[in-house]
Amino acid sequence: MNMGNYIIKRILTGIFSLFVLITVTFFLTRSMPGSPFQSSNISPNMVETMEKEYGLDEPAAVQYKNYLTGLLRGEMGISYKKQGVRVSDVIARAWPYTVKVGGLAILTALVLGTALGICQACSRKTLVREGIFIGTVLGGAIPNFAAAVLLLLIFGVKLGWFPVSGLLSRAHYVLPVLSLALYPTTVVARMMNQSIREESAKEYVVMAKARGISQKKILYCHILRHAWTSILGYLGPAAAYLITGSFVTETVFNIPGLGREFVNAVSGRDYTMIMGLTIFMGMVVIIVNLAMDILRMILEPSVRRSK
Amino acid sequence: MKTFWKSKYSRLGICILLVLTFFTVLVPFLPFYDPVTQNADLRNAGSSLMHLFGTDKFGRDIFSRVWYGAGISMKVGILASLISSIVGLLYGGIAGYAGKKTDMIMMQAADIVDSIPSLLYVILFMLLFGASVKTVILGICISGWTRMARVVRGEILRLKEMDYILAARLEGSGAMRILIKQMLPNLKEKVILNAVLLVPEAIFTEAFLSFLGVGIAAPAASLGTLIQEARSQMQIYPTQMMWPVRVLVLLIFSLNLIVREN
Repeated sequence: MNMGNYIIKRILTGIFSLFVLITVTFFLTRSMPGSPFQSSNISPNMVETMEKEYGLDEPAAVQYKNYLTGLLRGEMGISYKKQGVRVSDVIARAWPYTVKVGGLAILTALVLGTALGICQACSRKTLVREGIFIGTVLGGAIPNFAAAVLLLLIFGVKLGWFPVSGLLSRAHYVLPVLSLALYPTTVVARMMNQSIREESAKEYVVMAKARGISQKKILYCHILRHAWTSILGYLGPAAAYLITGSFVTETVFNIPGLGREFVNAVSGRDYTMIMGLTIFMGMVVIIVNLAMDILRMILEPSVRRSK
Repeated sequence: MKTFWKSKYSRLGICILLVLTFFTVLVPFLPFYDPVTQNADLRNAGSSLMHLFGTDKFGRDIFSRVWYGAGISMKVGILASLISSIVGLLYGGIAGYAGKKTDMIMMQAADIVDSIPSLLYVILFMLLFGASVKTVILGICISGWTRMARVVRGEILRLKEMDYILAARLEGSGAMRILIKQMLPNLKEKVILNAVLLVPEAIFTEAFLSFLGVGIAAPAASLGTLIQEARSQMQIYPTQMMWPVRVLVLLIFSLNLIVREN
């Protein structure tokens, strides 16, 4: 299949995924039990008026159509719980925080993970190799919420090295970024180690060695190029991880980003907010996945052939 | 099992897992404290001979609670992995064996399930159907099956081209018979590896959901629930949170050691 066709096909499945995401989210949220306005001190009459105001008295299909057309205009409805607050405004205010922390976390993971992976694959010392192996397995076994809480307790409360709430200064970023980066770092290190080992056994590397090219040059000019493309494939799942991970880090470190808004919406059963945030976060992940797939196709012809 | 015994790290993992399983299975049968009985006179106690891990804010014995919780976490992990594996095995088997258009459409559908962060669905699912062990397991299965399906499909596509399958077909064996009798034994190793890999992932997801407050709800308490409960007073009594965290990390660590190759 040529590249143009592949890219068009990939974009079409991406759009279809978006459609599935929106539809499933809409109907799941709509079928959640109870009216969002149900409260002991509200008369049934009042509930009815409010439902009318939010368009909840219409049949589900009409509501769905309205929601879709609204989405096209960037409208995601009004929060059920915070009177008059538009979901799109909340997202517009909150996303920069999530992106900043998430971006720094993935950057940290890429740098640290690559370094660890190279060390593990290339070191001649058994202690280094096995140490990194055990370290990455252990690091990958710590759930992100435990990591966040432990970092907060040790470096924030006990040692007092870093501030623990909000994002006021640079120092505020350290703990949330580290707790979010821990798991992706172990994944990147593992993938790096694995692909360096796999590539090293291939003929072109043996050939390069036979031609007298130095180990370092082979590693940096040949092997890493391939290793990086496999890491590109991980960036999609990593985006999903960073977004769901932000639920925890932003709650623990009190960061006013998308994750904390989502957790608040879930605990307050604010259905329009849950729906809007789910769709927005799902959309971001689908788009990152799409972009990475296309980028990989351009960089690595073998990916094209295997599809 | 033999493949897992080969490397020394897998053996270490299996040993840790056995110790954890030993406590999880035995503690409910031994005369330890009941995990839900409250004791107002002994709240937030530290470790002692009576209460090895101390007590929580309601005076409940943390040692018992941790091992009961580990039991729930393990149950969720094993059942979710089992169900996901069976679904994935069937799905991948059908897609791979049918080939052509069926395969293409089925794998496209799996791609779509994969492209959306599954936790978002699972959270909606939990809100819709309520928090319980059953819903957590089903929620995890919504997207848990896709990797297994991919692995199985790939293997089936490869095996389909083999001569012995052609021979079986010439002999007049039906599709079901070939899939089960001829192909399944060759898939066994990869399927088991993947199923084991699913267990810690499911335990992770469950703990995450419980930590967010949409997972397993009281009175049942998994390790995630215990960590969530202890969070409110972690600055004053950090050990109450440390015990469930330690057991959870050890549990996932041992499972990952078993499957990861050095």
